[in-house]
Amino acid sequence: MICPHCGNETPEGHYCGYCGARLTASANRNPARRGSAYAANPHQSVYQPDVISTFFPHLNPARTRLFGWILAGLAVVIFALGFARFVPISTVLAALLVPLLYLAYFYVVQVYEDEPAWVLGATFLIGAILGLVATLLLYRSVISGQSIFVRPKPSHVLLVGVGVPLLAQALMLVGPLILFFARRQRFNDMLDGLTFGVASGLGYAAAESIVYSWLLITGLAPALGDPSSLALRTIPLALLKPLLYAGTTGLICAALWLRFDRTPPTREMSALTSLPVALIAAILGMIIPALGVTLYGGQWLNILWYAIPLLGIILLLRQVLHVGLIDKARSVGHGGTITCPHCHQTVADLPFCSNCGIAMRSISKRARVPVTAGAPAETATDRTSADTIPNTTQPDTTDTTPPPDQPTEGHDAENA
Amino acid sequence: MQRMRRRLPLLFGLLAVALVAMACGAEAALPPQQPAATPCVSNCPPLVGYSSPMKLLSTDHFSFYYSSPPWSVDSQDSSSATLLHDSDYGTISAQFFAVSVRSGTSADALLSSWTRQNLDSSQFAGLQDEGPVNGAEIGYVRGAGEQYAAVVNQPNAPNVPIYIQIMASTQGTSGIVFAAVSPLDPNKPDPTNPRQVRSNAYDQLVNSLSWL
Repeated sequence: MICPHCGNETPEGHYCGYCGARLTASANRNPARRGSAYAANPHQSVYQPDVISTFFPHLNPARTRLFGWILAGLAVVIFALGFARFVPISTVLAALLVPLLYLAYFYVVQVYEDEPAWVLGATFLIGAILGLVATLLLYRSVISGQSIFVRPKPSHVLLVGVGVPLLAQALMLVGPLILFFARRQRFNDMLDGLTFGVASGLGYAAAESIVYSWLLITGLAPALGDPSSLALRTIPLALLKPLLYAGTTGLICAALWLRFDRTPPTREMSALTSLPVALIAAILGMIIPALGVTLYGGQWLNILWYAIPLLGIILLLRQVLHVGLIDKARSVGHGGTITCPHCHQTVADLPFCSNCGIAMRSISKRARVPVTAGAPAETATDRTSADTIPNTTQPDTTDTTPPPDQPTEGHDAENA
Repeated sequence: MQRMRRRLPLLFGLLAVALVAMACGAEAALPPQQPAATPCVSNCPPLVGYSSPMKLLSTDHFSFYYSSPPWSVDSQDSSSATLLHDSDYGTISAQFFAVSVRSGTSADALLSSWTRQNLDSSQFAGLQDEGPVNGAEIGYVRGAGEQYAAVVNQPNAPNVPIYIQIMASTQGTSGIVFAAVSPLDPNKPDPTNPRQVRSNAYDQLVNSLSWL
C-alpha cells in the first residue's frame, strides 16, 4: 500500500514501515506524529512519564516491565533499610542503585554488540571522577555556608543553588562531548548520545551522593531519631537525583546528536527538540531543585523539588527521542525480514515495524536477527521465555484485514 | 573485546560490594575517639573568652554583650536577635527570642511549647532528643533546656550532623528563649581548633543578658 504521509510503498500493517505514521485508526489527532505510540515503545504514549522506556529505550516490553519491577523493588528495599536505621548500607545502595541497573541494562541488551564496552565504562568513570573531584573541592565551601533556623546568605544561595549545579552540568557533559568530537563517525545516533549522557550523569550523581553522605556512610554522623526521616532521605538519593542528572545530561546529548544527524528530516521538527531548548530545560532542571532545597527545604519538600523538574525532563526527553526516531527515520537493517522483538511478528526490516510501529533504531543490534528461510519466526531471535508476551491485540502483518473496530480509512477518520 | 565487556559488570559489581562492605564495617573500623587533651579534668575554671571587643546589643525586652569577631549580628528586631559565627563545618547561629507568657508559666512549659512550634523535624534526618541542658539559665534567671542532634538533609549538600541547644527562662509575664545551632559536637570539643566555638561561648552570651 502507498503511505499517504510519505508516499512510499509500505507493507500492509498498522504503521508505515518508512515514516512510522499510523495508517489505521487510533486516538491520534496527528497520525504522522502518533503521540499515543511512543516510537521506542509503542504500547506507551509519548506523554507517559515512564522511567524505564525513557532511560532504557532498547528494552523490549517484557524487559521494560522486569526492569521497572527491579527498580521499584530495590528502591523499597533501600527505603526499608533506611527505616531500620541501617543508614550506611542504605545510603551506599541508594547511590549505586540506578548506575548498577544501567550497567545491567547495557549488559542485557548489548547496545553496541561487538563494539567496545569501555566506551560506555569510560564515560561513566569520567563522570564519576569529575563528580568526585568537584564535590571534594567544593565540599568545604558548600558546607561552611549551611545554616539552620536563619536564612542562608545570598552568596551561599548563589553558590549552592546556581554555581554548583551549573558546574556539575558542565562536567557531566565532558565525557559525552569527548566522544562527540572524537568518535562521532562511529557513534552517530541520537540514542548513542542519550546513552553516553545518561552514563555520565549517573556516574557524577553516584560520586556526589557518596561524598555528600560520607559522614553517614562512615558512621561519623548520628543516625538515630525518627526512622521515617532516615528512610525518606533515600528517595531523592536513590531515584530522583540520579535520574535527574542522567535526564538533563541525556537530554542535552540526545538533542546535540540529533542536531548534527545528517539524515534529512521527513518533516519539520518540533522546536522542543532543538538544542537551545534542551540546554535551557537542563539548566532549569539542575537549578530549580538546588535552589528549592536550599531556600525552602524539608523532607517532603526535597522530594517535590526534585520530582517536579524530573517529570518535566522525562517528558521533554521522550519528546526528543520520539521525534528524533520518527522524523529522522532511517533503515538500519539488512533489508530482509525480521522478527520484531517488540511484537514478535515477522515483518520487513524497514525503519519501523509495520505491525507495532516501533522504531527499529531503538532495538539493539543483537535483537535485529534476520529470519532465515524456512525457520519459524519464534526462533529467529534470541528470545527467552521472559520476553514472551501474549499478542492478542496485534494481528499478523500477513493478515491485511483490519481489526473489527478499525476502519480501513483509519487515517482519514483520525484527520477528521 | 567480548571478554572485556563481560568483565566490566564483574568489576563494577566488585566495586559495589566493596563499598557496601565498607559501609557495613566502617564504624567498627574507626579508631576510638580520644578525649581532648586538657590539663583540667574537674571543677575547671571557665576558659578564657574571646579577646575581641565586646559589643552591646539591645532590644525592647533584653540586651546582651557579644564578642565581635567571631560573632556578627545577622538580624535583630524589637523582640529577637540572631548572631552568626562562621566555622569550617557550617554556620553557627545563636538566637534570642522574647515572648510574652501568662504569669506563672514555667520555663519547662515555655521550652516545650516553643520547641514544638519551631523545631520542624521535617528539616532534618534522624532528629534525636539528647536530653536536658543541665544548669540552664538566661541572664542568671533559672530556666530549662533541651539539646537535640540531627543530620542536615539536603540532597545537594553534605549531610553533616548538627547540634541544637534550646533554653528558656520566664520572669513574670516575660519569657526569653535561647536557641543555638552548631555543626560542632559539644560533647567532643577540640580546643586545639581555633575556629571552633569555645565551650563557654554560649555562656558568655547568655550570662551577659539583662532582662529589660
